Amino acid sequence: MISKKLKFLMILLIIFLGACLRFYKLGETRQGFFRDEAALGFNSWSVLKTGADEYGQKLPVFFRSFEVFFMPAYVYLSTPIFSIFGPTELSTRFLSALSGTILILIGYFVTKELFKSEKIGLLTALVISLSPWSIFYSRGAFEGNLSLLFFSLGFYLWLKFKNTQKNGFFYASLIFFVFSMYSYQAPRLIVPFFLIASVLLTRKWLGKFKLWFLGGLLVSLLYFPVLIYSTSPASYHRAYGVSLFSARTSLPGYNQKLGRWQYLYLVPREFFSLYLHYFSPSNLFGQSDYNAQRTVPNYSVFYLWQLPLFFLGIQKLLKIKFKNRQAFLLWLLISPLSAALTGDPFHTYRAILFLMPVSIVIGLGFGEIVEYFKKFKSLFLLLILIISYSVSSFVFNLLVMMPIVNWRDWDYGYKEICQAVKVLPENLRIVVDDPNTESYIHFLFYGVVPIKEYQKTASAIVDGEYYSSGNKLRPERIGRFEFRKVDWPKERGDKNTVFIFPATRLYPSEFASDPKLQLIKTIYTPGADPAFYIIKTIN
Amino acid sequence: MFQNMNSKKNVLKEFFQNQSLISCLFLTIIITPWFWFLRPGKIFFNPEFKKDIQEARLTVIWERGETSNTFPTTLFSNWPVVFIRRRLVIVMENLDIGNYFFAGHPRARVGVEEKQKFFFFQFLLLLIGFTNPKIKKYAKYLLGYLAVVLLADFIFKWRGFNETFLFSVPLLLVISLGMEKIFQLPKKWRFIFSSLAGLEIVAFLTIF
Repeated sequence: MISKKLKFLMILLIIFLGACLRFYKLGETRQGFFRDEAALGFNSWSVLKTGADEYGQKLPVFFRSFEVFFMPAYVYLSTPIFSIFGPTELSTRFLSALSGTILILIGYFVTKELFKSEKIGLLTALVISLSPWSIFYSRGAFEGNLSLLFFSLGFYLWLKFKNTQKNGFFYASLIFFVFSMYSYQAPRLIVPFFLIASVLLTRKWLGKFKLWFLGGLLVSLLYFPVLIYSTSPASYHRAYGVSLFSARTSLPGYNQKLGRWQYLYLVPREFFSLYLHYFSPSNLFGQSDYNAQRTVPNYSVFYLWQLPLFFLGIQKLLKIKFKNRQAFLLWLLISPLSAALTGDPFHTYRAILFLMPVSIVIGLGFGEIVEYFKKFKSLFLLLILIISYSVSSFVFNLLVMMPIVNWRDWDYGYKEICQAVKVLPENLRIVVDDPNTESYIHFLFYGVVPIKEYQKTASAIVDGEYYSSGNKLRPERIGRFEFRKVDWPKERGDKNTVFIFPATRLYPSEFASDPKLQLIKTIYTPGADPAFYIIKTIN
Repeated sequence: MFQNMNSKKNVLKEFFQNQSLISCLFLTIIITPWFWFLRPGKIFFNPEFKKDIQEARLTVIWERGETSNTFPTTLFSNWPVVFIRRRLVIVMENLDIGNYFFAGHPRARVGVEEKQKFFFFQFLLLLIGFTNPKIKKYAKYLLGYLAVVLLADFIFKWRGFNETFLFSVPLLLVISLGMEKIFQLPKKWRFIFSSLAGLEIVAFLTIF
């Protein structure tokens, strides 16, 4: 038995360790500051300063940046943080890091409530605290991390309701489930699925009809602001764009070769394939996400040493009987659903709700190993050595190798560009060579492009159709700033202009020997290679 | 001599407990696409240790060069770690159940060319197979076999269509156990399952 004092100390230590891994050098941008982070941060700052988002929309229900609509909770909840720290990278990432840290404690409570075991609760908290998946998404501004915290809290209160039959827990759990839907897109599918299935799986569920009805009413009321936009593109635009059924995400030529009934065969097969890949040991412990932006070099979402614990945990899960087995299995099985319905293979962000149940399974296996090692105490030392080495190696790869390998995927260099542009005379035209035209958000975040000026231009584009004009994109020109593809041979002679080029799109030979062009600055990558050139035309 | 043969037959019969499992095993082998496209004699037994160590060393030289060769770099970036990590990735790839039943997706999206190995209905049979009580009898053999194949995979880096067929053995047995359970169901359910399986085979043949 663990004494109360020792238990308290242990959980405190685990949370402290997790907080260190999440907050250490959080505001640094050695690997870069990704455009989605900048979008969250800027909109939060903009709401704080002007009461409106980048399109000048007053307190929107959905925010929009680039061609994407996103849920509002992260933006609104970050405003107090911005009022303290100002528009910095730290302010943007703070809420995510805090969510990831609190998640450790919630993981402990959920596991304890599920298995009534202090030991498994503590071990699960340790797994979450050290988890590469949780650390990675806590160290960037990811609203999914906030939604995971809310969902876990909702689940914990749901368990409390099931165990105590107190209606207060039921209503409180619903509030947190709705919060998770306000935080990120994935829970908008998972939460209703989870709640409806949980209610239907409850014994004699019809007998509690009044409770479910009142719960449904509460959810509808809380979620009403989103529900009224259900039929507008703001609500479904994102899901439509990334869906498994969207032609854009299909394999080249895939749709063309399908007849109707073959489609019936291949689409479900593809869905099952994508779904099963979330349970693949190779993805969970070996290869990880297919997008470099969402990976730490050489690491997956869990450590390799956790693979045997995962298998042991599954074995234990199948063997033991516990009261809320159904609810837990439901969470485990449905959480990758929304990710599997999109075309990307093993998307660790869209499947972020899956983090907690897998961590619990690993924690369960960890409990078995610890029990076994009691007989061979020297093995504990080996275990501690393995864990210490792998965690240190992960931190090394995260802080040292990731900026070198993934800087391009993290939009490295825009902060340095903005700093350089800020000191240039204000009569110069600034043209950023960016075919995606998304780099504008960095110029907004770092205060180079004035908020009011951008809002005025952007609101003219959506023209009062903020929620329904999903296909109308951002402006390419705001005052003296332009974000577009540059036709270099034609434009190199333009007067009073500063061009900003990624090093991959313009070679030094194309400007170095021209006396009418002046290289103002080269931005170097963390690996000391050129990343951007800032070139001024000489009149 | 005949006596000897008979005793061998009995051993075989006893091992599979009854004829029905042997029939299911044969049927499974016949309807498995993996065996339709298998080209024998193409298994690599060359561990390529030298080449891989060399490649791991080159990676380490690059990593250490980029990070100005500090103490943590030498501790976390060294050739044995890189060498083992790369081989383990291949081993784990073969533990991935999706690669056997859903070839072409989603790894094909990221450039890995794959062929169908099993049908989707065989995946259902695999799941059902785990519920067959007879599996307990074979469990330790299956685990032992799997451990040996995984070790061989670590050494020889098998990841191709032909090389990995050794992984099919445990799958075939569990699928057969599942099929045996299906054949024990009432006629109506057997008919429905066989029809759907037949439809999938036809769909496969018309597409590929």
